Amino acid sequence: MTGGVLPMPAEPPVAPVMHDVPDDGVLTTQLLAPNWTPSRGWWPLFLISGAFTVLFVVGMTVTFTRGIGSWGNNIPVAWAYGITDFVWWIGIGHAGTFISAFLLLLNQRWRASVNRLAEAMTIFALVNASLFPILHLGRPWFFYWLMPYPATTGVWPNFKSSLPWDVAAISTYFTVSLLFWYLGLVPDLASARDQAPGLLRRRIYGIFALGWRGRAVEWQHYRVAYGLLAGLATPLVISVHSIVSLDFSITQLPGWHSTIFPPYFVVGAIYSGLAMLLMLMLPVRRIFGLEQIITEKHLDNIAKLILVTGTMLAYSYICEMFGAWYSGETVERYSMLINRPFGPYGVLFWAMTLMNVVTPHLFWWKRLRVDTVVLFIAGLLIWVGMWLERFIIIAGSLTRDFLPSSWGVFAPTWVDWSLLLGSIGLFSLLFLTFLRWVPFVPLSEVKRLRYELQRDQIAGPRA
Amino acid sequence: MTPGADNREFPEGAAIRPDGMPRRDFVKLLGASIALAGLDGCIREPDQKILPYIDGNNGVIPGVAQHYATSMTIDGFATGLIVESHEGRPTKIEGNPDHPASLGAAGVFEQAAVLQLYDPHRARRVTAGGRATTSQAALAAFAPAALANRVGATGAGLRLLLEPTSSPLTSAWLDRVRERYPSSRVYFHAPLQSAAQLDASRQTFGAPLLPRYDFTQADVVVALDADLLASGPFHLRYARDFSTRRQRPPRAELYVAECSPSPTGNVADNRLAASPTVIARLLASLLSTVAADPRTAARAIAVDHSASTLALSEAEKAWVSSAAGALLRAGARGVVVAGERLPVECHVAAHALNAMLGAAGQTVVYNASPIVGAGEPSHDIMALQADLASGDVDTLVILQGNPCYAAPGNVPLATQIKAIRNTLYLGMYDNETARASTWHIPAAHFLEAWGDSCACDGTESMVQPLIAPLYDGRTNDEILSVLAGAPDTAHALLRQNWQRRYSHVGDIGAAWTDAIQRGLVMGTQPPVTTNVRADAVVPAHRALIASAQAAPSAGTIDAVFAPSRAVYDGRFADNAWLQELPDPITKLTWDNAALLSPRSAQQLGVTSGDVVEVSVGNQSLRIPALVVPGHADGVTSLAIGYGRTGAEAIARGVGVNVNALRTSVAPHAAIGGRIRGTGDHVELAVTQGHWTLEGREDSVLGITPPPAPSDTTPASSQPRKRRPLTLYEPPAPSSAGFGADQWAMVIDLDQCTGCSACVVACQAENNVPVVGKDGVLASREMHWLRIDRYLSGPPETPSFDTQPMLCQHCEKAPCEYVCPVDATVHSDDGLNEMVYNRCVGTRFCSNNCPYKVRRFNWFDYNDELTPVEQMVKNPQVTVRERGVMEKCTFCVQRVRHAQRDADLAGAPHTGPVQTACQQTCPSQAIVFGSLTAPDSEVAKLSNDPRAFSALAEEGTVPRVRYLSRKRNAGA
Amino acid sequence: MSVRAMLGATQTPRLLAEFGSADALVAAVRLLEREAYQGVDTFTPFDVPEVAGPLGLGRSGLGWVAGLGGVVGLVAAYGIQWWANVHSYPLNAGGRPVHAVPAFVLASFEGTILGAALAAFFGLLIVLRLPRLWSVEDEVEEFRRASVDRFWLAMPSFASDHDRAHAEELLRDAGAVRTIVFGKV
Repeated sequence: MTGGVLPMPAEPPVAPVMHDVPDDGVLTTQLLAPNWTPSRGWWPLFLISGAFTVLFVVGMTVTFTRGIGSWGNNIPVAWAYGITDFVWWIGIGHAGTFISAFLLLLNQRWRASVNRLAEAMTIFALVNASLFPILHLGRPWFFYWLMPYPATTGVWPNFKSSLPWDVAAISTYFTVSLLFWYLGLVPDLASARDQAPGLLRRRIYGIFALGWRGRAVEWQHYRVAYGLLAGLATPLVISVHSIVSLDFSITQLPGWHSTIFPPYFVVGAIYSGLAMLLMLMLPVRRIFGLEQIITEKHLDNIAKLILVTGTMLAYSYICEMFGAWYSGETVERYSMLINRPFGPYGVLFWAMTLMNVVTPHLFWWKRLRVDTVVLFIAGLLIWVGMWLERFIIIAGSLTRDFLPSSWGVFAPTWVDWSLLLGSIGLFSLLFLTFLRWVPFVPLSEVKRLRYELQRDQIAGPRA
Repeated sequence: MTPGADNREFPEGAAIRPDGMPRRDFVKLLGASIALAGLDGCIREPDQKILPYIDGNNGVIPGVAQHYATSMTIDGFATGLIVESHEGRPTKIEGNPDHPASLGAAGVFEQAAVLQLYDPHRARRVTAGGRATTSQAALAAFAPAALANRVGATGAGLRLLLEPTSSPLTSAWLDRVRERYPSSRVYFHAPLQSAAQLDASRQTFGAPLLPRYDFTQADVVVALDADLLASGPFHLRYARDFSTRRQRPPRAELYVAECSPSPTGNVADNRLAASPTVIARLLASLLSTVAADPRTAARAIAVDHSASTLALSEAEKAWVSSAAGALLRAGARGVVVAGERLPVECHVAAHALNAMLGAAGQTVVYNASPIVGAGEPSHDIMALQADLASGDVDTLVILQGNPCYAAPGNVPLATQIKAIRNTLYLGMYDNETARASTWHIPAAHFLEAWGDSCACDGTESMVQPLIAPLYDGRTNDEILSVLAGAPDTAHALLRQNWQRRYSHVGDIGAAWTDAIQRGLVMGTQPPVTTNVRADAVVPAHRALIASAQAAPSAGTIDAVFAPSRAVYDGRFADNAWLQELPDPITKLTWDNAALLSPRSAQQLGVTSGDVVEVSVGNQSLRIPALVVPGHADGVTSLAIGYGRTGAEAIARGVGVNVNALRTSVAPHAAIGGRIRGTGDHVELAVTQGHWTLEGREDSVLGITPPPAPSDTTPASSQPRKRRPLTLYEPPAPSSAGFGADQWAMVIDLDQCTGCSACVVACQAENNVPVVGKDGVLASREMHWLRIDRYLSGPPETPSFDTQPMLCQHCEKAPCEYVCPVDATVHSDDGLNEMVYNRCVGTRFCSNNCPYKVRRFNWFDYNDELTPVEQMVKNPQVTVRERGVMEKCTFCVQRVRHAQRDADLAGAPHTGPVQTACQQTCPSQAIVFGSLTAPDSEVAKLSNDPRAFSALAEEGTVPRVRYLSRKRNAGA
Repeated sequence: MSVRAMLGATQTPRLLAEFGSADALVAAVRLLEREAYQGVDTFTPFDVPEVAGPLGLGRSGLGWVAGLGGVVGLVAAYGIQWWANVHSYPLNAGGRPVHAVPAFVLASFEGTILGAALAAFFGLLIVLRLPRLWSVEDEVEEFRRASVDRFWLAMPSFASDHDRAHAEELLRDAGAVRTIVFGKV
């Protein structure tokens, strides 16, 4: 917190959004090159991710064949790693939409060069997020019973439960994110089509480019459609994590039963997503030499966002505890003020507090905001810290509720671990695939931005 | 890792085997069980005619359950039972309302016996020297023709060893055997049987008599180390009587001094933790206090007055004065009960006290023990040992029991029996004794057997089979008839004996039919009038004072040996239901432990799970410690019945065998043992880890701490509001399809002793699976009904509260609205319904259940059941699949059954329905019924001033309400 | 017979002009507007909204399409919930009212968003007649840079070669680095 009370130190002007960018032709060639030939280190990373993905598959197989009993879950702790992983992944996804949609609406120019990475992260995080709810079912082969399809039994889902809301939210979120991402890709796929060596690639990219030509009329409608999707994605992303938080706050369980959950979870989600974005963006920036278009300005802005969301999250933590104390409810108080900090997962709680509450305040200092090493480590800490937060809320609250007779603790099994690590493996696998075959920097947007910047230099910087 | 799963070859697989049987053994048994696959579902009625319980319809009607009366005998004392049978498969055991030892209740052991019938580990074949042979061969070898050559014409080399028995039939055939072999000798042994009681009454009254209490008339009960409400041959009746008495003001006072907390201690008004020494001290000074009081002058008995010199602690003084005061106030309506296994002088003192109070003939009566040869040397294990040691024994016939396992440490029965040339063992299991014997014949389970037996008040009870022997098992009497040279079937033997004994009765056929149908012969033997011998009490009192003054030398600890509340003396060790039944006090499953008081544990520097070494004399053993608040200091309680080494796959390796520490001199308590920590630690499978309520007493138990010191009124004298404020009025309960009933339950916490009979009843009725030790360690036990136990006050002298916790069938159920697939919904008649085949297993319902009473099928707990094991399942209740939730249903199958009958009869209201837990509850703490039925008791009780809903402030509006505990003023 | 020749038979000749920068393109478009040329079209690697006015493109109507989609989504989502829980199979779950409006709001909101998003995306495809696997421009090798770093302008066919020559003149003056007569040579 120390940084918080210090006055903002006077700092040199921040680097521009992009600098020393070669002309469009060279730029395009440079940014598309990784799609034609794998860059160094790609294969090793791909194989490692593959190995972890196999671990994921093994974990799933055991879960499906042996039953949920192969996890550490029990009564009272009926939800643990599975749901924690679910909330964690879906939270990570939010930063992508945040950057590409929010910032578009806010007309933040710097989003241009990073939104593709961010959105890809969203998609792949959602792939994992949508797996876990199915995995954690006692009878996963009946997962479709949560959807309102006309069944011969005549029975429907119960829409008073938050789980069908989840189904609606996640499927909507996934669809919209995918459309938004793909729509943004179309012009770049057209570039790829026109630049691709060899007829086969031309055809493949040609198919995905949908015959995009960059006609005036195409751009005319495209602009509106893209804006619309951004406008829709923004309230959507807020609603999604609000609904996820309702999985907990509609219950009566002390530690879950709290009205601040929706904003609390949304902020946490974006926070964790930004952290992971850093962990993805920094290596990409380094490996592909993107320093001119992902400049210190970007790092600086993301660091500031982390500082803001991190502080809001800390505020939520305090609110949560205060609310419990203020309620005067014996059980609430015990759960939040005794069990959480000093209960079976007390150590994790303090670790989490350190990682999530203290880390962001490094970013009161400009030097640290643009120091890639610091940023990466901070990202890692927050990334882990946010997983811990979800675990403490979900499993921690369940360990000790109303009747002391039913108290119990949860201990993870190797299957729990393999599912967690495996899902990270699957994510990396998908992300590497994306880097290899998809233009991961939005060419047309970067070019447009460059054009605008040049024009501004002529017309003088705009207000 | 799942606790305990690391050291296994198949972590998950092994963990889920309900009986913890390794797969290899399972495959071995599979072969055997395939032979029995034909049994599955088919009818195996006994060959002879069996008669259903009174006015039951005869002959099997598919789909309609039938009920038969029979009796279960433990250590010679019978308890009458009614057994439910489906298509010839006994599936559920209830108490026999007509039987004096039951009055309709059934205990833990009786309830669980049905599982033992289908135990796949029962001995299946006759063996000679370990090799399979035929029963013909075995029986031929013991028929006089063959045996006489071995043991001599007079049977000089023949010995018989039985468990204590009260069976007229067995006694008759023992006589026949003695006629055939005049110089043969018969011995009786049961590890928990104590001669003290009979010796004491012989000293006091001049005859081996058993005390029998009438608690319905008692105003004050003083129990010394006597768990009279939850163990002993008559405990079901005593619990029923005591609760009947307590429902009638003025409230009966219960004073308990005991070594280790017991269900009886749970309901005591004034409980004192007391080591054997302290017990002696209390009794001694109680005796002199009462004797010195003018109110007993009329019936004064000479006592030793030096008791006044005894140095009592403050707590002891307080207990004695209030107990003595209460007794003297109550006079003939007070009674002192000495625990069965206390030494002789304690029993004498109790007899003296009751005599002086005038209780004898009022609240306590005496009758001759029905046990054959009660109090005679034939019951002395030392006599048996000496006899065997003499070397002139050629043939030993052991009928049931397991002496090789259960003999005290100083009696090398196992080696002696091994040494004998020719031994025959009749037993249900290939256990320690079977392995030491040359011949082993499988014994019939009592549900397969004809026979008779007596309750401890002498009531003659019938043993009637419900199913033909699964493994060609034999009964004691059949073997005896072979020895006597007149072999016949148990049924024939019983019938002949009946002819002989009741030849004076006119129509024997009618009497027989009546007895078989009711399960007992009406009319018990009258009590004996007794007079205390003048010279009897003083020496006993002196002995008491002597042992009371025995100051414990530093660093020593006394060891008290008690029957396990799960496996008794080890005979039930292969019963998974019992192994997984949480101990009413410690909540320990699948294990025994050295119980220590918090102070003793602290002095030793050990905590629960730390392995300690207990040594008595030159014998010592290592056993995990378990800290039990309310346990006496300087004593450790050790449950016998564990550490079995027989072939029973479930029993083997569970717990530690403590018999080695026992001696024939002091089989029930060893004074001056030693104990030390070893530094090792093991995980104990305890189902409740936290004992205090963290300031939630009012919300959970309906009491504001400290307990309100008033006679009958609880903290709040107003009926508590059932329905808190709500935004939405709940939908009006429509009576569509279900008549006008609204089901509800009331549980009286003032009556509940925590004995846990209801837990087993529920398990049997609802096909509740067991999960094994690993499952319990992972806190995945499946019991639909659990007994919560809470402590308040200082850990040395805590006060106990027990609370049966089951699905509360909330009208605004938190579990229901969070289920995404409507798998748990509310019925129109107020049941919280669980729809197994709709459940997808999100477990959201469990998270939102404030009572955490929902249970989840983490694995498929039923997939590997052998055909025989499947036979125990109740066909009226779904066997749940992997991945679905389950929980208490208010025995919906019984409710709907009763409703069908009502509909057929066109009655507006369903007749009385009993849930399994309610039916078996010895103290009738559970009342179930419809709130809307005319003059419904449950409706009356749920508006009682003591009625409250657990966690009412959560707004769940439970249909289960509790009656808060009463506390006696000043007691 | 070559593809170009085949086209020649079917298509009237058109004039394509390549510009090096967006500004040059915009200037040319403005010029052509002043000269009152009809049916001019532009191809740019990134969005150059400045050309829309001169080319006489109206505002996009996709907003209305999305709005309509949203309404449909909303009605469908709430309708399904009402039908399922209130009408088709009402059940007493937790003593809550069967028609629990607050509970139904959330999925309805998601439905709205989904409907609107799908409408916007597929509306776009329909308006632009995408996907289109081939268009004439693919046949011009130089035109491939239209998606990279060159800005192209296309004019419809001309009455006479003279008119076309005049137009070429204009475009060159406006800074076209290259003009291609496309269709018949």
